[in-house]
Amino acid sequence: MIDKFRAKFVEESMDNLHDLEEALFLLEKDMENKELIERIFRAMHSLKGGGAMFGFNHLSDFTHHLETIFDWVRNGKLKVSTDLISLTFSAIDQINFLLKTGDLSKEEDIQNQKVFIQRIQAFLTVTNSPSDAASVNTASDQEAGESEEKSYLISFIPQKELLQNGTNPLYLLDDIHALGDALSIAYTHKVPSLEVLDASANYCIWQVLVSTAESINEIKDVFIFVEDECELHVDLIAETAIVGQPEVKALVSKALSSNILLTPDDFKKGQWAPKSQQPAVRDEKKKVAVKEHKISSMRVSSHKIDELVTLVSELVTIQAQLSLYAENNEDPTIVSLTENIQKLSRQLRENAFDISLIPLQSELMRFQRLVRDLSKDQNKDIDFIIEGGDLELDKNIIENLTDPLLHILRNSIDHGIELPDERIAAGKAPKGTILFKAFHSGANVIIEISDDGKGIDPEVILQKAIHKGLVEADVQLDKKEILDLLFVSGFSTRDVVSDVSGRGVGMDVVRRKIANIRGEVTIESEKGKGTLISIRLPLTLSIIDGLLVAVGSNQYVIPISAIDKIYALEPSQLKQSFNNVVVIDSEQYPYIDLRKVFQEEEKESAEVIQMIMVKAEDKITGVIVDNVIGEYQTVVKPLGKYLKKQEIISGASIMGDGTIAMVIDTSRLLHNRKLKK
Amino acid sequence: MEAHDITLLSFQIQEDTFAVDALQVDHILEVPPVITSVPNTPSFMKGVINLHGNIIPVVDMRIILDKKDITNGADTSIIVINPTDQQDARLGVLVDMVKEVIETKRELLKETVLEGKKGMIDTFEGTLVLNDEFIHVIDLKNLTEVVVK
Repeated sequence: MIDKFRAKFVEESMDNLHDLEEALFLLEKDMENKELIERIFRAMHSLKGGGAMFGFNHLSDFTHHLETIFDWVRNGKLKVSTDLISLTFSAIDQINFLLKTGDLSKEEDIQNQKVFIQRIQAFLTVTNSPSDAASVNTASDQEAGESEEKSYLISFIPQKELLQNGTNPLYLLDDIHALGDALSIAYTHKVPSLEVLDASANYCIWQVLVSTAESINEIKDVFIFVEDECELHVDLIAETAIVGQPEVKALVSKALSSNILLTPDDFKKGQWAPKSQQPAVRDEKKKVAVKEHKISSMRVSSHKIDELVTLVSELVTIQAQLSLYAENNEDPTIVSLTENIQKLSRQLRENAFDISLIPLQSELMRFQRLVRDLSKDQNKDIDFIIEGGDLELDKNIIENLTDPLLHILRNSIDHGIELPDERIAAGKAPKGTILFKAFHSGANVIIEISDDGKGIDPEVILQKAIHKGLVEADVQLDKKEILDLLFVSGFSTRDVVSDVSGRGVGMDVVRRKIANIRGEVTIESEKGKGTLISIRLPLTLSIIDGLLVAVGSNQYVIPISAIDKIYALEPSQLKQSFNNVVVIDSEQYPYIDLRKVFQEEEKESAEVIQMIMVKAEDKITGVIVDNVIGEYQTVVKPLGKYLKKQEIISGASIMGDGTIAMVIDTSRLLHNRKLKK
Repeated sequence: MEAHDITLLSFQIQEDTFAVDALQVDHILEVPPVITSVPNTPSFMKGVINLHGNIIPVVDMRIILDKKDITNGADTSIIVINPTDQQDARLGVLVDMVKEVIETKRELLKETVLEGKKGMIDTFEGTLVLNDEFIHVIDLKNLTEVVVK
């Protein structure tokens, strides 16, 4: 049971951490922003509180120190600085680590944590005193712990169910005691006799008198996790520290013997009040869940979504069967019913796929982090701009996209953007820019990563490719073809494998990974000006609009998105052509006969030749098929591990009549052909 | 010990009897009218079939075992295996005839005597002698490796 809660806590904390990181990025740009500081503080507070509650003691301890820093920041005792932000970033990594491992057991880890905490504490003692003397004053006051202290009466009246959520009220009291001098009073008069006592219920009421320099909000924050399960009052009873004074003790013992709760009024009669005595901000009753809590989003396990999408895919298949049946049985009732079902299933499908989309944003944080850390490491100054981060993509695509994108970004920082001096020498602004841009284009999503760095010298690439024996020495290639060599396996621009990019793998892996999610990657670069890498991706993986064609005895699906035009040609038009080039509208196009590719026997001469013009990597190639059957929306199913080596076929699709049509991966088809040539 | 009990599904390929671990068998199917061939695959890969909306590749065990004179008859069947320790690894295996389910003890399996390779298969889990008949138990892990190659 508790494991389940722990898992939930970890999951939520990851969200918190994510939020924290995001706020930190914003804070870096706007160091004075109070709201952000508050947000960071909140996130840390939740981590600390939750950590203690779910047995992540090291986590709780660690975040406590961080929280203190940001408490100082929020009270103006400490200024936000770049150092502080860097420290917090590394702290986030540590928290991440702690969340994953739980409490530390290795001596080494514990030592590391200690060192880290000391670094944090160093911030508190140095009091990086930039400006106002006042802030220094309050800081020292805190140590002396006198004049700024006020006294509060906290009445904590929990409901019976308090203990059922695993809350230990004594921890809360401990927290209060940590704020300053405190005196707790426990009223136990409501505890029933043993026969009727419910061991899982809470019968106690507590009151705490505390003298502290912390604000009233700080005190309330302690109870933040139980606010729905208790009645809580926090009242200012004196402007000075009164805990420990004999009069107070008398009041307390009187309250205990009479079992009558202390009220703020009891303290009014006291002698210690120099200033106005009104109970400050009487907290509204938090007991009832008056807050109208609207749930605008909910968390669903990705497993359930996958299942939904699978079911919808099945439905689409069955629905196609039904349509076929209706077509053949010209019964008007069935036809109209089928049409309605078709409409519904289409809507359902769109909805289901919409649900399975997640915003790119969720991964961008990692990229920002990478850019920040790497540029600091390499003393490069880089402005990382993101456009279109709210774009949504299929979860499976995003999962497969992260590594290639990280690699591309690393390349940009590593090899693209120059050091500030070099940039100035080249007549550029010292600060480099990496622009990450995502946008829709038809049924595709395009992601572009561009930098204004030194670009790629085609000559260097070509020499290297010749040196590695990837191309012949006397080869004639245009610039685009040369840049394409970067994607050939066995090509890596750096001889030395650096820690950052070029871990022995290069752009060939990027291209392969992107191809796995049916995407395409291209590169453009201008020497001295920068590089642009663009990735074209399908919106979703599992359903495509396809053109059904026949070749030999089989049916195949060609994705519509790859098709430019379809021509019906006279056989004579082919005969005139030589070297597999066809002339259409006085333009020359290379062509492929699918029968040859699929090793089917040659077809006897047909009257019309169906030529489908397919575009891939900016080139148009003709593909000859036997027959064009029609346009279908199909669910692409994987072929499984045994047919993974099958390169040209990217999956299979079940047609309405239960037969199977194979889905052709056009870019692989054209690519393979190029290699053969 | 109970853990030593094994359940086998035996099948016939021409004059020989083989078996697979019954716990890793998903379905036994008749040969459908069409097995959609996949271009550019080795000859033992017969193609793919549609099994309840899933695409299952089918291999011809007779070709894998290097048999000649292959004919399909009324008894020809597809055994769909699903090796539990692997992902999306369902595979249809075409055999001449499915025979029976045998419950036996692992201790009774004798080491299979192989003179060289049996077609493309290089190891068997063992051989069971039952009513004077040799039943060779196919090592599914080995089989799937052969197919992936």
